Amino acid sequence: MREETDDDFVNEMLALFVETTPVAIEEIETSMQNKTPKTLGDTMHRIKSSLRILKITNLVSMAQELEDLGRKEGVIDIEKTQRFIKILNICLDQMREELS
Amino acid sequence: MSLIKIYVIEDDMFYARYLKHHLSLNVDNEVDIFNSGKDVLKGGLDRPDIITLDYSLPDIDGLTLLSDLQTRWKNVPIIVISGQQEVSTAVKLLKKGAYDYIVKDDDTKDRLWAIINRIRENVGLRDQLERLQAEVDAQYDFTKIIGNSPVMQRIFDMMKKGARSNITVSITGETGTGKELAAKALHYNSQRSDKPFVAVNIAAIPKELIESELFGHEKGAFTGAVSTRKGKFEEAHKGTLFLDEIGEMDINLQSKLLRALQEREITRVGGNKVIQVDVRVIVATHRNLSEEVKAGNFREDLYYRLLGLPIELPPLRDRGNDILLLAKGFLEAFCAENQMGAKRLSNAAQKKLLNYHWPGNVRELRAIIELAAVMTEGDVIESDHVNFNNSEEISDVVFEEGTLRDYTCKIIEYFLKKYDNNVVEVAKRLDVGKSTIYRMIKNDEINV
Repeated sequence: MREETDDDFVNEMLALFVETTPVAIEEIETSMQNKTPKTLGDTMHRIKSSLRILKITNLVSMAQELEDLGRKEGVIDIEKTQRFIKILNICLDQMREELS
Repeated sequence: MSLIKIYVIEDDMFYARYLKHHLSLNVDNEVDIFNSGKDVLKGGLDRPDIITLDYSLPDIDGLTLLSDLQTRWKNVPIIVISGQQEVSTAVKLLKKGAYDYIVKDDDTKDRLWAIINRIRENVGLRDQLERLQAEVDAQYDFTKIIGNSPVMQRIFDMMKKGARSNITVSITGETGTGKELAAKALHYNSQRSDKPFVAVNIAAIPKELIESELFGHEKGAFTGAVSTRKGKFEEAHKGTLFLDEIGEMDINLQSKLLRALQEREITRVGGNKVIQVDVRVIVATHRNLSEEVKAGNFREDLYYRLLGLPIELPPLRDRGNDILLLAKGFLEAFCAENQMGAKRLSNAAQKKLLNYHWPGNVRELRAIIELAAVMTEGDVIESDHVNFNNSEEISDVVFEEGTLRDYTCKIIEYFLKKYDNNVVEVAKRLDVGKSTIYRMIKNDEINV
């Protein structure tokens, strides 16, 4: 059995998150512009797993809330979604700094 | 345990990499990632041992992909991982044959780890079972059973024919001739080989228990029947039931056995329910059943029902050079099993084996060879290392063909051995003169 704590793995996951999340942010912004709550819900659903793994718990609950609104109720909470993107971008900046 | 190949089908690269990392913590897991259904369905991929499948892929829906994967790789466990928590989705997937269903949450990796460990154990057991099955098949392969004598060749020919059908086979032969081995060879070379072979020795079970042993019993059927129990007929369903020493069966029970064989159904002791059984029956006995029928000890109708294909196994003494072939086979196997160097039989030892009359047949030969292998320090088993049963009977002494003078010498030798070379005592018991015995000893006609 290998050791579970693996710095290389953590760095790899952070890099992967930094690389893939901007695409998700773009999708969220497009969904807001096009007023497609289901697509927004799907993106929130996908990004939620990554946030959970990285233990960014406050964003997990926000993503869950926005996913439910978009998928189940067909609603986009613009203000909350923008706040979500803002916090997510702050996290991304910190990660980029960590990785550099 | 061998390497387990796991395919992770997940479009979220981040999550896929995360799963791969955790699964790869066990170095015996070999993990490959596929980001779409299309990627995993393309040709040229090896068969995996386990698949984890993301339910919501962009190119193909989860249910369709599950079904396609099941068609592509039959019996590979597929664990569905989904962000959806709906119970109905889980039930639907499990009904469609998914091995398990996990929701993406904080416990996902631990649950997946536990499920994969469970599957690994099952895969290990399955491999072990397949290995054992292959060993059994090899052990009972007709070509592996030793016997070049014409009589054994005829028997192998009959057994091959018997194995091709469901005909009842009745095997007769002296004790130790290999009746159970023959029954197993018939079973493992038949179409029932992957189903149970159940052997019952009628002589070894008390008369009053044999009915419940064969047909089972219901709870409370008799004192001590604390729970319902299946009988050997039910255990052998779709397989073969070997009834050894059938000649010892109580006549009252014979009618119930006849009914089970004719109707292919049984009723447990104390029960009313009729249970259908599909069993191929092989019987064996050392008795002459037709004589038992005449003596009124065996039902005639059952006798004819059981007769089927009769196979009479010859005593070892009638198998000529098979004795040496078997001896060499037993010797090689015993030396290999016990990490001994290879041993061989000297010419004198071979002659001794060929001249013996083998009342215990192949079973006795095996025991004698194994003992000889243990007693021999070097790599050659000499005549002295081959020791037959110590409790030599007078019938053994006069077994070999000879003249009256040969028999006289052997009988006197036997009694001298029995009475510690006390010539006076032997002369008295055999009513011969002491001087006759002394003369025979002096002339080396008998060995003391």
